[in-house]
Amino acid sequence: MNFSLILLTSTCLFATAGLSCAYLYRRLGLVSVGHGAMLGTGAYTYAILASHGFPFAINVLVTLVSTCVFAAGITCLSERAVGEDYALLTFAIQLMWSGIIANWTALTRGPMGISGLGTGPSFRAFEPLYLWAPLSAILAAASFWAVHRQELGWFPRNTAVVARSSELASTIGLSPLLSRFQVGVVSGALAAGAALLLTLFQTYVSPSSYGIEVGVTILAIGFFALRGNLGRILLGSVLLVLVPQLARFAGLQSSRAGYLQMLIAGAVVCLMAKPSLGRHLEN
Amino acid sequence: MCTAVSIATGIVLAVVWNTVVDRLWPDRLVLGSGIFILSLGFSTFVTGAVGLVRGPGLRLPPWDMPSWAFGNANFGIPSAYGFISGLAACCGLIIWSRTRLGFAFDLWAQNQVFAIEIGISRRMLLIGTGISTGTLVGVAGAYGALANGSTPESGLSLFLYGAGAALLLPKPLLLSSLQGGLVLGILLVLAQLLISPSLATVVVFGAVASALLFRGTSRVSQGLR
Repeated sequence: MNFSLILLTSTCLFATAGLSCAYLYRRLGLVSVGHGAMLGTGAYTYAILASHGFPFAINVLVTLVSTCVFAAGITCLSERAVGEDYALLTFAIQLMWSGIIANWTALTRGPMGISGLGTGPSFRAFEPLYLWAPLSAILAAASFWAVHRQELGWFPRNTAVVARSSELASTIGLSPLLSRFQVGVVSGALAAGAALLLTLFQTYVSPSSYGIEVGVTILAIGFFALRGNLGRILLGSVLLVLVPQLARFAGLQSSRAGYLQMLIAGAVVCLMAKPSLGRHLEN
Repeated sequence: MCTAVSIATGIVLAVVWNTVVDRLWPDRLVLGSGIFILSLGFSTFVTGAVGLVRGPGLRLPPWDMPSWAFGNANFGIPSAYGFISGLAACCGLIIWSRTRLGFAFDLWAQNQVFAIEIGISRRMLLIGTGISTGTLVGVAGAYGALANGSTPESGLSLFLYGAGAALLLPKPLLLSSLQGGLVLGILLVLAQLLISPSLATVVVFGAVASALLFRGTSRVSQGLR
């Protein structure tokens, strides 16, 4: 039962992270390879504050704010770099983030990470997993609903203009930078929710948990999110998160299961890049 | 022998990969972002496949390597191989970039429509660039395995450095990619010597990010109307 709940929680949280990545592409046509760093920023913010004994509510609030600011900052960089340059930029930021986190041992405890974080609020005899699993499912469904709901309003029209041409947006009185900032904040909020629950659920963070492999995995789930409904996103998440876990459960070495996840993520990126990104990859 | 196999594998993979990407967009022009994302996916796939088959960890060449004393320094086989083969590969690339095929490749990278109009053959480019890039990748891969050993992630790391070198300088020319690679290589070594080996990646990719932001590629940053 617990193993099923662990799988459900991971699947839903990675689906939310994939939705965050897909949101950037849908709104501004940006392909982000650095979503691992975005998720990791949230996770580390919570872990550092929690390990210093700050109250749970403060930790959650600061985690949300820091992840949104980080995401908005990266998204605003698209004012300078687009296309493959933006993808490479997020790639570079991801690697720099991993390097800094692994080397800033005084703050992050280096490659070993921060463990023993506890489960946040006290649950006494109640098993926290019974809370994280439904919360993760609710977060994934609510994120999907909120993103789709937003597509009906004025905001998508503004960002569509910004994505097409910043000069055109400026001409009709829109602020491209503000639109990018708003998209970044929404994407960051989704990533923050996923990161927070992931940290509470796993009770540890380490640089390898949010490396470039995680960035590619989230990108692959994002491709599923671009192709359809919540069911497809969950299908992508199941394929990329559940299959390696089940292989591990079936006796595959833990490290090899990680490589299996990379293999599936790479195959999904190769196979789904054209149908998902389509017109943006062609001249 | 091992180097020859490495280069041959690089050439076969590069030609096959060029053909696959070309078949995906048979009638249209391909943007760099398409190639970048597909290559990232393929590199991740290969890393995963290698890791799944052989398992994690570093594997070093099994033989004892003699070294050559020169003044106060000792040059091992990997250093000599890296220096000689790297120099030969760079010289080869410079000469190749001055041939008809090299010029055709540079023109294609700058303006695909014009290149098609003046009759540059897409197939010729696929094979020609596959052979040249495959040779370079084979040399670099063999040196990486010889000097530092190999892990499943080695290929992905090389892809990161390669992509950084290719996109570091603004001109889409073969020699610009070579210059970008030299700049990154020098920066990597300096960062390893002067700062810290573990922070060298941060410095190198900090430089890549700064260069991308400084020169800018969006229409706003380029000031086009």
